[in-house]
Amino acid sequence: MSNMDLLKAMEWPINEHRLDNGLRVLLMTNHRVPLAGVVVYYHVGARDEKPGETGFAHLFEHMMFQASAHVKKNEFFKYIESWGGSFNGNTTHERTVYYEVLPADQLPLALWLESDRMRSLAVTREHLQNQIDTVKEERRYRYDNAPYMGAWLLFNETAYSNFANAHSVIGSMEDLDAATLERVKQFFHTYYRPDNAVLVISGDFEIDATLSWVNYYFGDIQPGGPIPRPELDEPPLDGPKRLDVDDPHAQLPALLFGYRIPPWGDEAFYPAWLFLTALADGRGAFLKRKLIHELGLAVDIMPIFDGRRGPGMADILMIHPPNVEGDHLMEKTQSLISEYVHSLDDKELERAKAVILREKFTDWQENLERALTVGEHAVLDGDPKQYIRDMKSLLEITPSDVKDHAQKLFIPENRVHAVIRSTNKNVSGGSDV
Amino acid sequence: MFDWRPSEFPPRHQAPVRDLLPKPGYPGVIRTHFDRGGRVVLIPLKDFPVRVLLWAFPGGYCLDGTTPGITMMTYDLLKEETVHYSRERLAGELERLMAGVKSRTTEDVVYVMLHVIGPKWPEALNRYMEILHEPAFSQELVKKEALRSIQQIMALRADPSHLARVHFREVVFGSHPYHLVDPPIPFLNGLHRWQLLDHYLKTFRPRQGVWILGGDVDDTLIKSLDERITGPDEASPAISHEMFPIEERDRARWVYRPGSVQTTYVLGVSLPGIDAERWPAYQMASTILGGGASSRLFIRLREEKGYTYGAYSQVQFFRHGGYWAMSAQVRNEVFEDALRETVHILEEFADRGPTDEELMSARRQLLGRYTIQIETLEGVIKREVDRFSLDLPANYWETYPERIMSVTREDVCSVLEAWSQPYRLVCVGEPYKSKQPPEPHYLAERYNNTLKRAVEWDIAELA
Repeated sequence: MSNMDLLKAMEWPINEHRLDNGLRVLLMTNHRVPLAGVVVYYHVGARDEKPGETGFAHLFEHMMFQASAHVKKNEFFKYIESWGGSFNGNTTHERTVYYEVLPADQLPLALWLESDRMRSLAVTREHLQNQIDTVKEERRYRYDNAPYMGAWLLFNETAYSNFANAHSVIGSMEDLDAATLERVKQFFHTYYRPDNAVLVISGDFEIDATLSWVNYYFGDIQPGGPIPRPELDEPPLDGPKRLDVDDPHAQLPALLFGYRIPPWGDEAFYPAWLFLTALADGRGAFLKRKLIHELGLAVDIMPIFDGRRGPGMADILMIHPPNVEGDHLMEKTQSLISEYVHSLDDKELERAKAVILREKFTDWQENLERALTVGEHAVLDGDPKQYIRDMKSLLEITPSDVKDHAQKLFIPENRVHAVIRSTNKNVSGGSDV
Repeated sequence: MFDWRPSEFPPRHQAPVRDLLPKPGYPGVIRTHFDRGGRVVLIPLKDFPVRVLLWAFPGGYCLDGTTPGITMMTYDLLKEETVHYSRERLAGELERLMAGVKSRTTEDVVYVMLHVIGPKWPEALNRYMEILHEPAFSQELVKKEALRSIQQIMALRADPSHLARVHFREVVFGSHPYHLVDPPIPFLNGLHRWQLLDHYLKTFRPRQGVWILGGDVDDTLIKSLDERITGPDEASPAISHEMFPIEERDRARWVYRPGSVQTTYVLGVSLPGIDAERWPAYQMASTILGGGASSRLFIRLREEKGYTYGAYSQVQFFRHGGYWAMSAQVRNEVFEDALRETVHILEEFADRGPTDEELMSARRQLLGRYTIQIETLEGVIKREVDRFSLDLPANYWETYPERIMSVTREDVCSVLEAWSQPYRLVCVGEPYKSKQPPEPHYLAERYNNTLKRAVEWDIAELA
């Protein structure tokens, strides 16, 4: 059985419908476990925010859990959890997603909750202030109080020129504080509508019965008018670009660097993904072998493939010993990458493809992950089956495809790097009292 | 599955719920033995092209004896290279086979796991067997990895949650091996291959412990596996099973983290070793207190007060001890209020117990969560490792739904008595903009003001 045969086994039958109001409905049955996953994607993300309202799309995601016409504050959590389910949501630059996994018997509950908030979000100023406080705590937790994460925010502001691409999903404290209830309502009416959403249901259910429920709850929600979409174009990086970041929390210094890559669908997109994986993903990755194990110049290496529909970035975070100088490490790494572009062979590429496939297959054991995968492609590519075509394209790429693109992309002129210095004074236990 | 006809759909203002319990079905697991000795658990789940083979043996941190960290380092480095395969070649080949070998040392168990997706199982199994039977522990590797481990530990100590975990373990477990989170740095500084090799030879007893084989597998694999396992048959060294002493005083530790914009706190109590019969009651109580977004801690501290992004309760059992802890990260200016509120929530719960609605909700939550956890092969394997690690009854997971359903209000109130013991508190941050901790008993009196108990701050320098 080849990897291509394995992929064929992952071509799940998708039963697709579109309601009159424009809501796309994708149904995938799997009766092995008595669970059902419900996923709702909205085609709105941080890139749709305007200057002065950074973090708003994510804050809005929090507001969707607050209250709707028939579901009071805290009831959403209680309904889902007390009937044996779990839930969450997340926001990226491109889209916002909400999901629940429930015992299959309770599938109508998730549909009712999702439809009620799509139809009739009902939040107050008090709810908004509470969630502004909560999201500010999330920002502190994930970024302001965490090593290397403050640098990550600055790095992206340097890597992109266009506001839509450059600003962070979490947003600034000032902009979060400035959010108003009026803007929440406006945002809801602009983006949270059936014709801007995809509903995916995956798991142990019957298609006809489920479609009846979907029609009952979602069928009469009104669509809206045209939706504004941001301009995502970026001028070339015209690098190399460099920034210094003092990190009060890092105990070890780090180098964060990345290369501008083309949008999804571009012929260079998958070769760039494979090249980054070959360089830095998995225990056998080239830069780990060289810089960690052979030369001792790095402690940890983490790839971050930030592929988007507009220009994206292929980034690497490299934590290194204090006696290694950041710019020197960048120079050494760049020289290794330049050599590797020429020496990349079938064996190296085979490893990179296997690393990506193994990660995907491991995720796809869960119904929810399958629903998230097809929903993401439906909302962003328009085609839920694009996930399988992507993987097939990936398998067909040859070393010369990767070399052709990598030698144009992974070069200093197309690079940003941040030298992160630790300004941390050693943490200590306190003194006796 | 739900069986409403459209004419029976409830009106829009009403939640469409059916008063049915989640119906988790634990997969058919075969428990047997190799002909030549050794326990085997077979988990046939053939709907996905994945295979897992895991060898687990008892002892975990308790195998360390007088050298804390030796077990963790031995089995971490075991998988890095063999006498025939360099690290570079081994890592690359396993990944090309869509396979991974992971090892983990925990409080009570060590395991080494092979995970393979797709058809390359035979080749991956060869590498795995070589890893187990012929590790190299070259001095060059050991020296480099010891240095790298020290650097990784330094990097990790930038993370406030990790710092809190390190200190909370020390405050709860003292010098008992369970306190270990990272290998001690002086030990890593002096590490030599002979120590690892010696520990490996003393502890590698493949016919002890358990072999778990899962996924697209059947019992014909058991025989071929039996023939490939070699190694000494005598018992591994005796393990200290002594319970750690529980101190009579409340203990609190202050960890000053300059520049911290949040304070991370963990408030907990020690627990005795695992009691399989009472575990479900602990899980119910912890779920109600802080098991999710509908719990008391989450609703009060996040959804009503806006103090935190998340506040949770966790019960953690090992064979010879455990803890029950509540934790949150809050902005510095609300630290005292949040801690006081946390104690208040706890005290209210301990005094009055759960409501009937909370009990029913917790039952459904735990059954639903369990159904989700056993959806994947990895989830079932984790349960089998827990069963072995905690020495649970053979039918524990098969009978888990009945165990959860039989927990009463009295059972939950009974486990809440754990909080009448001395408290353990760890705070990481800089809430007072000063390296100095609070005035004597200043904070202690506040956090514990309703319980009227004295608390002494404990001191420990981080290496």
